Amino acid sequence: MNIIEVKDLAKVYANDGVETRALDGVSFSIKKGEFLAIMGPSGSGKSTLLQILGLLDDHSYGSYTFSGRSVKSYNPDEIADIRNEKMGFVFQAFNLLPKSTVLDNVKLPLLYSKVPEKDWERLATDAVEAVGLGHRINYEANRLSGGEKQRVAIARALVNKPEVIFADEPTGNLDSKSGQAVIEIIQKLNREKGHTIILITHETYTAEYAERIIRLHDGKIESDVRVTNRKLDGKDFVK
Amino acid sequence: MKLKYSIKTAINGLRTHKSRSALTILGIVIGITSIILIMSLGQGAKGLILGEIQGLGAKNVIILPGKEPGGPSDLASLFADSLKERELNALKNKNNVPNAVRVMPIIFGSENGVYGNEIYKLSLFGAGEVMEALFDLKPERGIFLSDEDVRSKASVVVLGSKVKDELFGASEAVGQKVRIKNNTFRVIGVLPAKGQSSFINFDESAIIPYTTMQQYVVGTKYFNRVVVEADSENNIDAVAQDIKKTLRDLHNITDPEKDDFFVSTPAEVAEKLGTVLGTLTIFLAAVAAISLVVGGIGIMNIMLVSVTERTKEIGLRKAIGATNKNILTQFLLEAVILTGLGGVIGIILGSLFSFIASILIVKFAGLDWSFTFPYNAAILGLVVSSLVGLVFGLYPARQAAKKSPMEALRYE
Repeated sequence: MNIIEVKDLAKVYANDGVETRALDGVSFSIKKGEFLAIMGPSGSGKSTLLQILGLLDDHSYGSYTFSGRSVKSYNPDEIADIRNEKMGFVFQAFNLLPKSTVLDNVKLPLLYSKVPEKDWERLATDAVEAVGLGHRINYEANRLSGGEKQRVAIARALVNKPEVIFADEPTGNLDSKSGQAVIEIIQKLNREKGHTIILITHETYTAEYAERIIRLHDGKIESDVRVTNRKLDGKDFVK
Repeated sequence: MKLKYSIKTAINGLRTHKSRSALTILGIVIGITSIILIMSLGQGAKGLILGEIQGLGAKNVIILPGKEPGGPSDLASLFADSLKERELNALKNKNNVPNAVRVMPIIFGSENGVYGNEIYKLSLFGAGEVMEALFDLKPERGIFLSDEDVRSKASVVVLGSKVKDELFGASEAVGQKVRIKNNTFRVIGVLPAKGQSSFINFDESAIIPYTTMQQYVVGTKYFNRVVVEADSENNIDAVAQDIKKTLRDLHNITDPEKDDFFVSTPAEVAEKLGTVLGTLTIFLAAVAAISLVVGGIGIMNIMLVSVTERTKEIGLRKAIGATNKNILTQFLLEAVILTGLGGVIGIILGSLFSFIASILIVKFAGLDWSFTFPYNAAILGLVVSSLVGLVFGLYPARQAAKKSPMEALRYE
């Protein structure tokens, strides 16, 4: 079953009468549980695509169907609910609340959700443990290392058990070792918990953790391929 | 999102910037402090004046000669001669004013009292024996004037405590002779110290029979005041009406506009003073309220800075599911909590200053001033300060809510 379907998707920015086509007719679909990497040089439209798919921005032309329903039919509050319940976001800059604890940061999406309050503590603790930061749970976010911060951000993204996790250059601000730990956690979430992952990266190394890579160039799809030599963490390497 | 968490989120937001939050509410704190202080002091002053009027005798109707005074500086009544012995007798007649218990004329002037080498400028009252009961003036030593003293125009005097101290020091005054305007008076009584407890400071006064004062001191036949005591506070208005009717009949006046006397009851005086004081208080509070507007603009300014500074946080919150309303509520609550807190601090400080002021006033001015917590002003202050937050927080909060999550996240 396809969770995301886009057809002839385009995004046009108008600046002083000059039109810029950030996305220019993109069509593809993503199956539930798939791990997709979107690659491309800067200006290729990959961030724009992620923002449209993550309902952070509108598209100009074409259609976008999420979970079987056109996103144009949702009102702003419904879109906020979808972002809250069905999507999780991981950003390059982590975007944590620096003075709040790890636990409070991870709880944040629950504040805006319909999840009963009594479950918050347990859900947040589970999410923090899932990224291996149980021992840091009461630390202030600004006292953590970059890799730890990104893992908190991942915990925050998955606390609401979303269907899709969007990761925008999650390893971009990290050294290679922390970056690898982060991408391995993301892959694990995909393989063990069945979260659909949409990863944006410009590093081939990182993209090879995915099952499928879409390459964008000048707002158009250049290639859409399955990863043949997929990197897998640990020993359970399957081909 | 539940209100509880909106409030928690807002408080967390404020706690992250403690010193900025404190500086932001300073304007509101000052504004509310001054309003509470002014209103509390106004209430105290009102209480004081009402108390003073009660002290003058809540049952006493005072008749002034001449027309109704145009203001506090209208001295015409001092020279009006419409109240004389004839009017006094008419008022004493039970048929005319049945509810009057005591009727007493007063003449006043300012004269030097001399004893040996000591000279003291005193307020001289010509009064009757009933003054003792009317104004609660029981002598500490000796006795008060008697009706015989009044009838016989006796040269006797009752001294206020300060007059006694100035002229006699620690030595005994009763039985001694003092000179007032070239007449010798025998001191028959000394009043206890009463403090500035009413409009008349009896400590600086000397009281002699009014007949003596007319004959030997002022040389005129008219009175400056006539005081009529009603049998009860409920009958004050009836007494006032009877007095007016009696004097109009006596003076052949048909048109009340042409009255050559003025009847004043304690309630009227209290009401007039209360109105004046109330107006003054409101005016001062309004001036202080201007600082609230200034404080509100300060809040708006800082909230706008805060919204810009926290663009990324707003973007994140939206990305993880906050609606525009959630964001609006959060920033609006921050502003309202800030100003509300400023209001509470202002109420506490204002009350504290007013309390200290009341202690100082009692201690150094010797006034019978009492501190009252201004409940009305406190509630008003809380409401107004919260409203300031609501009004001046709305624009920044809307700016925050309007931000697009994508642009907010990208903001550096």
